[in-house]
Amino acid sequence: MYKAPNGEEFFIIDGHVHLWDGSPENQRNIHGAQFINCFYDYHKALSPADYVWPKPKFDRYSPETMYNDLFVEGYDDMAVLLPTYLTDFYKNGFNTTEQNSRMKELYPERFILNGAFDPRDGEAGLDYLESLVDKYKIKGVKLYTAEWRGESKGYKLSDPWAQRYLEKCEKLGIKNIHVHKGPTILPLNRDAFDVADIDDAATSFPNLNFIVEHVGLPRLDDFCWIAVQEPNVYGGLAVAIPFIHSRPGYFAHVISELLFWLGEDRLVYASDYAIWHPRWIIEKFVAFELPDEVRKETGVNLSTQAKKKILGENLARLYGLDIEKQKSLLKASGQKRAAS
Amino acid sequence: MDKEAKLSAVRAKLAAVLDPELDESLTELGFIESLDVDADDRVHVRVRLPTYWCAANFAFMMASDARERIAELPWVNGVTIDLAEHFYSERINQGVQQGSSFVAAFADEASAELDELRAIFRAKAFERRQHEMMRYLMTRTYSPEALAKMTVEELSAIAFDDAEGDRLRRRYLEARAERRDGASSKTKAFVQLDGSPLPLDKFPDYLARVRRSWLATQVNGAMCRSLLEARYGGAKGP
Repeated sequence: MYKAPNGEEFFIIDGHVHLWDGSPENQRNIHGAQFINCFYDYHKALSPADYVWPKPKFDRYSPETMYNDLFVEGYDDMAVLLPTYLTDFYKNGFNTTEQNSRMKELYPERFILNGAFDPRDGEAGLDYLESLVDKYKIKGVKLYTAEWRGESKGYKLSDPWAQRYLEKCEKLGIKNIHVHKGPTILPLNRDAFDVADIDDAATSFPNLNFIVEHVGLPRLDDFCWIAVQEPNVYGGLAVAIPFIHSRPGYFAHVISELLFWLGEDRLVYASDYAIWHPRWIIEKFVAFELPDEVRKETGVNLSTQAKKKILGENLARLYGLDIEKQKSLLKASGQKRAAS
Repeated sequence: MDKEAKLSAVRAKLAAVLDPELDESLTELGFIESLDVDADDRVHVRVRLPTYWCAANFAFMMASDARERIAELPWVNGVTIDLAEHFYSERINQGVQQGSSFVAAFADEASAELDELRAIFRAKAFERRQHEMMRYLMTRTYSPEALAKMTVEELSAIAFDDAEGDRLRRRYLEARAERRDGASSKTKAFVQLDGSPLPLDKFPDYLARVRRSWLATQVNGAMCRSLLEARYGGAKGP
C-alpha cells in the first residue's frame, strides 16, 4: 500500500516481475551472457543512480531480496510473476514457471503465478500447459515470441499452433495472455516487432485478455492503433514507466498518448523487477502531473482515479481479485509473519 | 588530399546514412565506434549498436548503406564495415563485405529483400517529420487551413526566426520529395501519406495519427541513446 504525501492511498499490483538466474554458471552460451547484459543495460540506462545494482547481484538474487524490494521497500501489495524460459540460452532456464513458483510457495498471498507456452512444443506443450494449470492453478501465461528454439528464431500468434494453444487456454480457464514481442522473428526481412499478430489473436479470441508488455515498444504507434480496435487488448507499462525518472518529458507524452488511445481502464503498472525497483517508480508516478502543454495536445488527464486504476484496480479486475478482501488477507498474513 | 580531409569526407557520407527505424543518422546516434583510412585508401568503419539484439534487418541496412555511400567517394579503394557485438555480426559483416543482397546473406532466413520494410519506415518518417513541421508552424500562428493550402514553394520561402525551423523544413522537404508528386514545387506541402489533401473536417484526428508516429520514433530514439550509453559509456564516437 502506498500512502501519498497528501494522504491518498493506493493498492498496488505489479504486473510484471521475475525471479531469474542469469548467472555465468547457468549460461549455456554467448547469447545467455548477452541476454542478461542487455537487461543490465536497461537497468543502468533508466534507474536512478542509487538504485543501480552491481552486476553479480543483478545476475542472480535471492527470494528474500525480491520480497524485501517489492513489498517492504517497494510499496507493491501484490505482484504477477511472468516467466521467460530461454532454455536455449540457460542450462536451467532463465526464469521458468518452476523457478518463479518458489516465490509463490514462500509468500502465497503476495503473488499471482503465471505460466507460459511455446506453440513450437506441439502436442507435448499442450500437456505441459495443462499440467501447469493442475499444479499451480495459473490464470495467465506469458509469451515471448522472439524466443530461440533450435533453428527457430521466434513465432507469431497467428501461427496455426499458436491458435491451438490459445483455444486450449480458453478451455483451461487461462484468461490473461501477456505478450512480449522481441527482436527476432522469421522471415528476417519483416519487421521483427510487428504487433499485427496480436490484433489477429485478439479478434479470434474475444474472451481472452491480451496484455501487451512494454506497450508494444518499440512499436508504440502500431500498438495504440490495434488497441483502439480491440477492446480486449491492454498495455503493460514496463519499460515505458521508468522513463519517468530520466526522461519525464517523454513519459508525459507516452502516458498521455496511451490514455488518449486506450483510456485509463486498459493500462497496467509493471516494474519488470529486477530490471527496475518499484519504490522510485511508484513514488514518482503518484506524484506525476501532466504538463499543461501535453494535456492540451491530447485532451486527457492523469487523475488520481486513473493512477489508482493503473496501479492496481485494472489488474485486480483482470485476475478476479477483490481488493478489500486482499487487504485483509495481507494484514492477517503480515501479523502471522511478525509473530513467528 | 590529406588523411584528415579523407576522414571528414567519410564522416560526411556516414552522416547521410540513417537508422531506418529511428530516422536519424549513424553519426548523430553515436553508432560509429571508430573510423580509419589506411595507406592504401581503404576505409575501415567499426559500427556499434545499442544492444546485441538490435533487429538484424535494420543492422544489415545500416551496414550496407554505409558501405555504399562511402564507396561513392572517388579515391576510396575498398570499404570494411565491422559491426561489433551483435548476434549476427559475422553474417552481416560477411554479407556486406561481399556486397551481397539481404536474401543472399540470409539465404535460409529471409524471404525477400528489404524494400518493403524500408518503405514502411520511410512512411513513418514522413509522418514524424510532418508532425514536427506542422506543430512548429502552428505555434507560429499558421492555421490548419493555411497549412492545407501551402505549396512546397511557399513553405520553402518562409523566413524562419530560428535554426530549428530551417532544420525541420529541410528534413520535412526531404521526406516530402519521396512521396508521390513530392518533387514539384507547385504541389501542396502538406498532404497525407497517400498524397491526398489534409482532411480539414477531421484535422484533430489526423494530427493525432501523425503524432503517434512522431512519438514512437522519438521514444525509440531516446531509448536507443540511453542503452548505447549504458553499453559503451558516454563517448560520442569519432
